[in-house]
Amino acid sequence: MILKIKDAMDSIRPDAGLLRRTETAMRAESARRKRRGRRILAAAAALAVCAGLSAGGYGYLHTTVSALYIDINPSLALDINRLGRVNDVRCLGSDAEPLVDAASLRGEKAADAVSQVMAAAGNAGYLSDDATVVSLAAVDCGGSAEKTGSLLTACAADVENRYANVAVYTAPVGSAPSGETAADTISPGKLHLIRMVQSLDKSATVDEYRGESVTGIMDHLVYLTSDENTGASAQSKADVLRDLGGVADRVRKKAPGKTGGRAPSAGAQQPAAQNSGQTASRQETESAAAAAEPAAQEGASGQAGTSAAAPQTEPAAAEPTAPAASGGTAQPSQSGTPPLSPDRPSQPPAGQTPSGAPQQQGASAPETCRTPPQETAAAPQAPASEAVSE
Amino acid sequence: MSETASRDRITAAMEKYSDTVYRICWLYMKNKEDADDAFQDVFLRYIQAGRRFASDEHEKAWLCTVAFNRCKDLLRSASRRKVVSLETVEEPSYRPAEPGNPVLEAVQALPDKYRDTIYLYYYEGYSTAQIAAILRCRENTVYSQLSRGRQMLKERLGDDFED
Repeated sequence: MILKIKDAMDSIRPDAGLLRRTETAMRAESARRKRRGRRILAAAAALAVCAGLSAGGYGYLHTTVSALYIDINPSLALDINRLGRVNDVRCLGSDAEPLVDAASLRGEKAADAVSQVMAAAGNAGYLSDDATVVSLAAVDCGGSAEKTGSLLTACAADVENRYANVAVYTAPVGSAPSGETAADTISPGKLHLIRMVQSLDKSATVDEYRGESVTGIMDHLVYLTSDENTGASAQSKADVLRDLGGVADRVRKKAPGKTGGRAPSAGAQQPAAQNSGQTASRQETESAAAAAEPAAQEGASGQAGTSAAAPQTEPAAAEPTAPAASGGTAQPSQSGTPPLSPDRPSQPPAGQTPSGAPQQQGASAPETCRTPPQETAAAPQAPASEAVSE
Repeated sequence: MSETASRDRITAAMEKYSDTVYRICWLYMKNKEDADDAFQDVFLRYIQAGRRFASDEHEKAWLCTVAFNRCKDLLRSASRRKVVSLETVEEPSYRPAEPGNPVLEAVQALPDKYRDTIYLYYYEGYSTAQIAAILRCRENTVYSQLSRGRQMLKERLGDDFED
């Protein structure tokens, strides 16, 4: 049976024509498959190139090229990409964290983001009706310094247009952050202001002013640039005033009696609602200090309010812990800081005070420069200031 | 794969498996034209699949399976089910298998499942296990199909059948 089946089957064979046609068809199919494979490869390569270009373009456009620092004093930094939009938000201190919702700022245009931050600061009470100084600083992180500068200028102009009571100080555009600014412990704008303070007051340290509000630092700078208040060179003062520009004028104009020394320990600017109670108690303390130091007041009475109350309110050491001691416990200065008493502009440091001059006066002058912001802000109502002006 | 390698593969496949594939197609389609079409389809699928086989046996088994399936598909296709009366057709579109070999006719007349098994077992010389693998069924099923196929051939061939 097997042989029969085999014999029968052996007779079934494809003819030569079929074999030839089939082989031709197979070769054509094979060639078509190769062409298709090449087309698929080419399409895949084109897609890969497109994807690469898209990813590269996206990465290029969304790379952070500038950092915009806002100091009110909550301080925060906005990372800006090449499209001028916010990539990320960094809080420089815990007080800034509840202020903004970082997620809502991401993708916003820089000016809009700054505006939102300012609005949030206003709602939180950080912007007083009086002149509040806000520092805007920008750091070029690999983009164009010119574009970063334009961005900074545009944001500053936008804030000033929206907020009549806000003076915007724009620090010069810096290069990549370094040192403390790179660690996000302090903004370049505030650091620049502190450097200006240091140029006028050699005893000032960054740590003293780290938590200070920009308004407070600016008040102190304006105070220090007054001819009679510091032993710093006229050139230094002129340099600082030139750098401050119109902001110094606005600070002077806001209320002559309000500018003055700032105590670094006054800490960050508090929301206005929280300030009132502290202000009152400090005013009382200040008035007690004024009453206890009539001699010091005599020297200050001829000055404008910008510095009138200052000499009596700051401890000699001018340390960040000053507020507790600002109630008039004036101590002899050991710091060597130039006296800031208005009527003794050229008086040497405490250690070099000429004999006969009250040590307390010479020592109290630099302390006054760091009067807590609440004290100076409340100066018109402060009994001490009134006593001085009287 | 280079052009030469591809050419060699096609030539080698045609030389080695064309007879086997054609026989399966002819057994199923029962006429030369349809068997030719099925044969070409199977080898085109072989090229389209672009598979690499572990051995020649694997390659042959794959081609057998494809040939079985392709023939079944062609027989099931809607175009083939559209029938017209022979009276209305001036010339048939295919030539019926030429009568003459009663064994072939008997094998062709077997139902598909018995025909496949009989062909693979008696002509290609596959074992029941190999047939089970090619036809994707159990070995016992192959045994029973062989038995029934033989019985049917015996009934058809009568005295010509010698087990």
